[in-house]
Amino acid sequence: MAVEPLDTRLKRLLVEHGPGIGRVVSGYVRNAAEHQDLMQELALALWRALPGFRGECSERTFVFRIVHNLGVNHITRRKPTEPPTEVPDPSPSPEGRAHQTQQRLRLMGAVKSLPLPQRQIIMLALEDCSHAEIAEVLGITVNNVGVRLNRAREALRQLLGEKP
Amino acid sequence: MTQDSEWTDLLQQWKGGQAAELPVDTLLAGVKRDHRKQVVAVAGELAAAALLVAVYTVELSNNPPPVIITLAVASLVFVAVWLTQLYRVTRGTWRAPAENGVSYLNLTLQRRRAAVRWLLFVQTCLWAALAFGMAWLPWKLSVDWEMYRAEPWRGLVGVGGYFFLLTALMWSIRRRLGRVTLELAGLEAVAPSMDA
Repeated sequence: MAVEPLDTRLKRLLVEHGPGIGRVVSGYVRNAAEHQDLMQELALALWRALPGFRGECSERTFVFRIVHNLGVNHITRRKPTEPPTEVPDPSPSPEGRAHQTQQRLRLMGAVKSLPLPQRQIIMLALEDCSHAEIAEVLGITVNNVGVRLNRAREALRQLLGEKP
Repeated sequence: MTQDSEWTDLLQQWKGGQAAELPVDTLLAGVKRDHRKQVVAVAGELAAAALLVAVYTVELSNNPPPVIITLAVASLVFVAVWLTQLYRVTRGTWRAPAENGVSYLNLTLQRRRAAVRWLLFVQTCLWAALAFGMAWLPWKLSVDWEMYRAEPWRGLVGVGGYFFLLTALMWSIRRRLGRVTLELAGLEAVAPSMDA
């Protein structure tokens, strides 16, 4: 079987998982510039990690592991005094879809208000990851995923209920 | 509204709208540029270490006076510690992000702690070099005073260069230490809640 060149492999991953990557990265950043920086860092990390990927997990799990690990790094590098600037939207907001965009921004804002472990788990669940996949990404047990996800969903519900 | 339909609504909102396409070609170009820069940085550190080892090995093989022997041995020990720390700080940098969250966090914590220890060690070495320079300066000036009067540029380049280099290094290490300490504090703050 022909080995897929690294460039082609990375390009394919970025295209296939691009929308999900973009949404999850948005959950870790505060503005478009940070989004761009983290995306670049992520692409580099993927490129370096890809040669060592032997299919022990799905490609999606592999990609999300890197996204979340770099996301945590990104958050811990910030100065605590830096104020949030804007909520970056990973998708454009075309005319006539203002309501949908507003809802999405409201949801993203609520997700970003969650404590980090809950934020991670809820973003993975919103990306349709199974409990087993979430456990593989975060390195926790499947039972723990269930418990944490329930708490995270409850917290999210409360946040969305509070926000107009 | 049931909890399930509420969740389905959230899923739609989360993925709703036209997803933005990633600028894949720009990202790929950036990957190659950043990778090159980091390889050059690591190669630079290794080359500097190799140069120091070569210079002091040659010095030692020429039957030097005790002062030079002490300096050479201290420098070789410094290089050994430097390379060990470089390994500890960069270990797993390339493949580790693909580990699961808990493993990655633990490895990152170890690496940041090693980096803080290393930077503190370098800072101490630089303070020692500064103290040595301050003690050496009056002696050096008194011995070579006539030469410095005749050719002031020698003093400027030699003595000035030494203190300028030292100050620049201390400033750079201080900044790096501040950055790594901040990262370490952030990681230590989130670590307990992330563990299984």
